[in-house]
Amino acid sequence: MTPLVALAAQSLWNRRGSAALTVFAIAVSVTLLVGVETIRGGTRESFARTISGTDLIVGARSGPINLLLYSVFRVGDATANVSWQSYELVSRHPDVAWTIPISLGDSHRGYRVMGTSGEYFLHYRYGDRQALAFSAGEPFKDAGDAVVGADVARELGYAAGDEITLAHGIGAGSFTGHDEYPFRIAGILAPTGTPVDRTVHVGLDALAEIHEDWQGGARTQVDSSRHPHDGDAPEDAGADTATQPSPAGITAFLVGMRSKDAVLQMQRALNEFRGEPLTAIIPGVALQQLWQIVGVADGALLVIASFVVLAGLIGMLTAILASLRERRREMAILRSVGARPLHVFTLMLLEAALLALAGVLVGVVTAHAILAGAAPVLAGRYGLFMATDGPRVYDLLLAGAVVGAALVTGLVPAWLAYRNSLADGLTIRT
Amino acid sequence: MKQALIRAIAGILVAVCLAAIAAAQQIDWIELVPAEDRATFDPAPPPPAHDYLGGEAGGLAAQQPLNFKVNRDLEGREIRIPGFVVPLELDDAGHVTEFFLVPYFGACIHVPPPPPNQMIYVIMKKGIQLDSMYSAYWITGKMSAKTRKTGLGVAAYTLTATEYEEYQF
Repeated sequence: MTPLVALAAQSLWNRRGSAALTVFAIAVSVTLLVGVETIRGGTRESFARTISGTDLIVGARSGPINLLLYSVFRVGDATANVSWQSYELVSRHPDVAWTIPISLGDSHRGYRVMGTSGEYFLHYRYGDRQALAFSAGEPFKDAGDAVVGADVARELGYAAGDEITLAHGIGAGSFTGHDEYPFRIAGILAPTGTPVDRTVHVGLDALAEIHEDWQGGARTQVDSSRHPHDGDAPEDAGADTATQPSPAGITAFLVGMRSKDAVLQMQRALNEFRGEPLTAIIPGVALQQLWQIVGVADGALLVIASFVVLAGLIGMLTAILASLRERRREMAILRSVGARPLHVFTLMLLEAALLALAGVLVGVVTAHAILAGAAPVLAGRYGLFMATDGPRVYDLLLAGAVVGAALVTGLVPAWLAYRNSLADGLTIRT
Repeated sequence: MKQALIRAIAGILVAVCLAAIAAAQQIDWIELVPAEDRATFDPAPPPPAHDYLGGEAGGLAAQQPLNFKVNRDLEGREIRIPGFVVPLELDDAGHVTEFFLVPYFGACIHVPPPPPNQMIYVIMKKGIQLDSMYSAYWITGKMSAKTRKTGLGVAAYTLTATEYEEYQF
């Protein structure tokens, strides 16, 4: 067997030009297949992992998927705010265990800023009910503190204690800044593989404070005495600790119920609330709805990728078949040195296997190299978090399937060569 | 000898399977209502109500009648029941591991939720691969019928599920 493998390899090396092209065709198709499959797995996982343990998400009246996207995935924007009164009404309800206010709209060097309360670090859960953990520092204590996600800290090189400023609006280069209100990084969160990693968290009261002077979308006055770090303004410092300035509105809030049994009733009550048009969603339901939309597209992607692999294999078949005629002499020589027809058959099959193996190897490596390079873009722009820790068991299965399909395809030229060598013997009839 | 052994093993396997099926008794939603209340029970969805929060949050509790009772006979029983799934928690693979099982579709969106004794809170470790929320499923598992009182009413059933199967209409 081993001499046959060597022989097949040498025979391919002799025709390395066309063999390389065949390998390339297979590699491209495998790259596509592995890429599509990794992205499919990644989307599914990052969708399902993003939020856990939250019973309801409440926002201004809009669609459930829109609310889920902006409140959890930080994609898109809210249509309106929720009034603070409504938030307080729900948070005081006897069946509600906790609420987390969310206020979006500002950015820091391309990363979304989320105003929230200390409850966030206590009650927010992702994955399998995992709590947020700190890799450095601690939750924010006063209005001048910020907590950044793992990706923000890594990519911008922040450490606990650094000072940052926020920009009004969203985008990497926002030109209307909040320069007069610097924040101190109080803590850095451990990586979660969710949009939390790419978020800058600040106190809700701080966010209200820095927008206080803003009227009609622009800053009207700069009052430096409101500087959050101005400890020497006694009445201001008192206000920070005693009566926190309650914001006029928040973007959305998360609700945890004391008992799951009350979730449906509470959702109904919020959706029917006359005081303000609200939308309340159950995260699991909205995730499922979102997945049903995205799932169709990713099913289609798999079909396309499979067809590309099929095309690659047909390319290999064509290349081997085309070489058969010119290699009749080679076969005759092999027969003359003692090769049996079965050896010829095996040789052709091994050739197909070697081509496919090389193609799969190149394809898997290329796919993972591309994915590793594209991961930050996918995470930043689409909120998709890929596992970029190299090939996984599933990739091996895919690779095995492609090689298997190549072997089946290789049966055709192998059979033809076998029959030819039986008919031709040592002399070629042309 | 060998064949006899195989036959014996096959027989035991069949018996075990039959026992498992027999243990999970198929029940209907009406059986979740205690026998004495069944005569007056109306299976239609409750009429729409509005503005439960009205002014003070206390209004919310008032809309849910508190006199729903659970059928204590179901405590600890292995049951099999069909229903629609309202997903609550998903695992990493996107399978639904916690959900409400409800007798009519859209119970959470278009009409008020069903009364507490017509709703089952299901915990299923292996999870359901939910292809569509419009599909109904048979859920098999062990029932717990403990009354839990919340400000929004009493509730009712928890099912620790082991198996599921798509319901064929």
